[in-house]
Amino acid sequence: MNFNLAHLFTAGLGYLLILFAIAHVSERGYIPKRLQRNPLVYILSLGVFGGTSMVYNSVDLAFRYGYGYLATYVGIAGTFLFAPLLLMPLLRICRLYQLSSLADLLTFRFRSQWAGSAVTLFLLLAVMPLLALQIRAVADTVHILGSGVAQTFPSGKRADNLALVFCLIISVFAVLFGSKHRSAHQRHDGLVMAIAFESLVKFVVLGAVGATAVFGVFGGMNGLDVWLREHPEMLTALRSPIHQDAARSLMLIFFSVTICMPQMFHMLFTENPSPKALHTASWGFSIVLMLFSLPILPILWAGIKLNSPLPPEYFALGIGIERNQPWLSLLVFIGGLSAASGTIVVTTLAMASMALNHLILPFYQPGSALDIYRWLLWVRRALIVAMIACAYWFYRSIGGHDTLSNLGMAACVAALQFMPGVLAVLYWPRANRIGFLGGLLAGFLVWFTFLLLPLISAFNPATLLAVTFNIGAPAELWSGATLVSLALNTLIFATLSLLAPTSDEERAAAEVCALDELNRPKRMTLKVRNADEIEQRLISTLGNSGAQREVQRALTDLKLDRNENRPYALRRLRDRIEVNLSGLLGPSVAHDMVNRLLPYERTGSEPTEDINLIEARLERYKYHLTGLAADLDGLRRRHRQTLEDLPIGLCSLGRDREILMWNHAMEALTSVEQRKVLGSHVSNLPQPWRGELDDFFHSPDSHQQKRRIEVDGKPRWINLLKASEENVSDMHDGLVIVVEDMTETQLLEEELIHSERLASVGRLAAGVAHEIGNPVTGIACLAQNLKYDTDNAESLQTAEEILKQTNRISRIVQTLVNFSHTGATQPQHEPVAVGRTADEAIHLLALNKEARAVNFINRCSPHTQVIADDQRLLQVFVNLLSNARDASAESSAVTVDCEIIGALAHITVTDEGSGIAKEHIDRIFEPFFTTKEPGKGTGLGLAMVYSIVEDLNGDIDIESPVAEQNSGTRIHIWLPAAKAA
Amino acid sequence: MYLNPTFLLFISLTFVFAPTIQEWVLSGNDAWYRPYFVWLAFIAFVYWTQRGKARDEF
Repeated sequence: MNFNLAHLFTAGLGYLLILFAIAHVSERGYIPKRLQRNPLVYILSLGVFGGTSMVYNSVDLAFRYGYGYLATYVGIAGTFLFAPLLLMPLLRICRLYQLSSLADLLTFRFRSQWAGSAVTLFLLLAVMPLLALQIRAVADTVHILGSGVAQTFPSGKRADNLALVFCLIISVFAVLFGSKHRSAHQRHDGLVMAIAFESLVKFVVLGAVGATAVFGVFGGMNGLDVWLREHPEMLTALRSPIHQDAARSLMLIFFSVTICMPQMFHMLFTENPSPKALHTASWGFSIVLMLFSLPILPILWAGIKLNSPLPPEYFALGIGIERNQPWLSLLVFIGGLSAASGTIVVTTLAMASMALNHLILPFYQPGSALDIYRWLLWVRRALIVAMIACAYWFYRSIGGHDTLSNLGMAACVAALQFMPGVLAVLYWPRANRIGFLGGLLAGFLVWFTFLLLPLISAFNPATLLAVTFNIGAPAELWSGATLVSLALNTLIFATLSLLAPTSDEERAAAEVCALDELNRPKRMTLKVRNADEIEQRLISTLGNSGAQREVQRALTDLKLDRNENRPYALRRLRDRIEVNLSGLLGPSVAHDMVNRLLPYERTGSEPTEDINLIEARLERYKYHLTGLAADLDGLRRRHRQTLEDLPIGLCSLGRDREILMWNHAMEALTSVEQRKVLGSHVSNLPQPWRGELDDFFHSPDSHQQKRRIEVDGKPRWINLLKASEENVSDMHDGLVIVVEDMTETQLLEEELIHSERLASVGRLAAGVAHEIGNPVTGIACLAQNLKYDTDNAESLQTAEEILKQTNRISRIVQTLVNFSHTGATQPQHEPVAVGRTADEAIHLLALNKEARAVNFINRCSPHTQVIADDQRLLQVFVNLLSNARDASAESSAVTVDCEIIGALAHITVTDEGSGIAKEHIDRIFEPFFTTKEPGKGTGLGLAMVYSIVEDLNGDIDIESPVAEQNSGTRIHIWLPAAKAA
Repeated sequence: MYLNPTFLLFISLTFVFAPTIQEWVLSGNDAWYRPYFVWLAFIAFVYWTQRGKARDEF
């Protein structure tokens, strides 16, 4: 059975076009986002790791190592078992700092471009066998199907032309879909969907071949059991190799492959839709792997039973050929092509970004005249093509003398060399770049000598071992090389890290990456003052549009306003720009660029920690805290809340006068919102707070009392107290300032003084009245005597007049004395004549000749009595009538009415004045509220009336304007009526 | 650092019973698929530790 090459070419191209279409419709949004971001799609896309190995190499591994082939799957599944300890923290770091590759991650951690460049170079070497493996698998299968089994690689020669055609096609595909986005960190939804589809195809292919093997070749599971019983050597071969080192090495290698191979890193972290998807993948991907591995043994045994002349790695293809089922062979070919294309595209895409960020940009950056995004895109595309060309050259170099498994193994052992560095990122803050580079170099030297060199040259490692160490080569050279390279790598890494010094930058990056350490950023001052200045600085490197786009993007990410000028916000903006540029240019270039264009001011003193940012991070991290840490965090929150809720204004200022705390009372006092002021400089506060806090900050006094300030045109009084936080710890370096609002106390004090003054006047008046009383009594006595001493009618009339006038004086004096004694004695609740009391009040008010002349009309019946204290009721009338007079025009009427309604007496005082504004009616009984001109009223009169009426068990209300006259004010008072005698 | 106690227990049990499990897997005669049972148990365990972790956070 052989296929026409043109048919194979058409089938292959047709399949690639289907992949192309899937990617295209996904990118265009024709496939719902919910489906694209579904964890199942993500899990299937992780199937990219194996490439053609899933279809071909695994059978070879099972043939050579028996159950040992499972170690490859279990190793990968093991990585997912450790997802909470390994994958999830790495995803967090990659997301937070926009790291899109292993080189980015290690550069970020070790703060060394050399680390990034070395990782990229070594990975470029490492992926060459992997890419060559894919190319060879496709070329071989086309060759086998096209030429027939008998002609299978008689002299180790391969189908180079077919391989070249495949490389050209796949280059176009990779360029079109692998490098659409400007930033490598952006998700490629189309690519993910295409790779997930590719995994699905592999499922179908392996399922179909496995089913054919079991049911077609062996006639079912029973037939397989019978065959195995007849061939016990198969089961023996299956079990015996597991005891050797090879299985352990395989597990170790594939444990690290998940993270360290570029295509896996890319799919796992860069294309990850959400942390939830990774949670699901931690068990979901194990199911996928198990389903992939299930058909491997039946395929192997079927190949052996059918006596396929093909090497075991192509048994899947051989079953269709031997059973003369062309559809099955074609399906396997499509499956292999699908796996190879997926792996090549994702690997070259990831490697191109890495090469760009770590091999090109550190040494050459385009000027601002070029559109940097366009330039990056084209360079990345060129790198993809160059890498596929290199892979083709490598494929040609290895010739035909190695199995696919050996090529895959070489690539995976290289990836293993990065594992110590990756583990140190999360778990060893002491590790440094010198140790990492030293270990990596040693590990790669071993790998290069014992695994890569033999692939591309005639070099035989066994000769080296015999000549240099006088030992023979082990049976499984790759297994020995794996363990030796890893041990050497780890040993040198650890030793050099312990001996060599670690820079501050590395230590800070280690804090960011370490699992149980919280990054403690420093509070430094930027030389720029706002977002526009940042944009201006970036123009020199990114060009106009680039700078504008990056600043706007960072502002949008942080939800900040463009006018933002708070130092805290500007520092965050700077960090965000660095993170975003890191996704575009790599962490090293981005870090250098931002340091150069947006430097911090050098103040000479050690910068302190940014507690606002630390608290924000603690807030995000709170679900991870357990035990003592969670308790401490709880205590921190409680103390923070106590300070926030203090009923007294409290703010904390840094040494540079940056506002670190602004509690709720401070918000209420200043009307400046906490969220707007935190992290800003004192000079950004509105007046008068700016001046007050700034002056007090510099003042040598630790407290200032009753400072008068104007807020919105009204006077306020504040007390200021401060305490220095210096030398407490790194986190506290400034002042805590307490701002106490003394306005009400001050106003009360002033009122008290005023009342005291009035009381003194009252006492004086009472004294004067008393002094006047004595001579008046004398005059009255004399007038009385005069009445008895004369019969003269004229004299008698005069005496009568004198007596009348002295009586009047006595009444006036008595009223004054009574008024001045109001409130001094225990109130007596007894029947009081309302009309008489109103008359007395009118009489009292008439004494003030300077007051406005109004007509007081008392229409109360002399018999109407209420239960009250006559002096307090008098006070009520005096206050109400006085207010009515002040509000009335000259000669207008002020009327007092009274009527009994049931058990209550309804008293009204009505004027014809201007009335009370609506907005004032609700406040009219409040103490100190007055609508009179300053100095004319105290604001206590009506408050006193209200209080007295309440004391007399009555009620009071205001009607303004008065309904029937549409102006003026009427005060309604209800008091308990006295029962008729 | 948060370590799931169930996870730690699993690792400990696996370490203790690894030789027994290996012996059981290899003594299956015709039952070549026994490793898959162990694998299934492993998946079930991981699923169990991850259940309820529907939250979309790190």
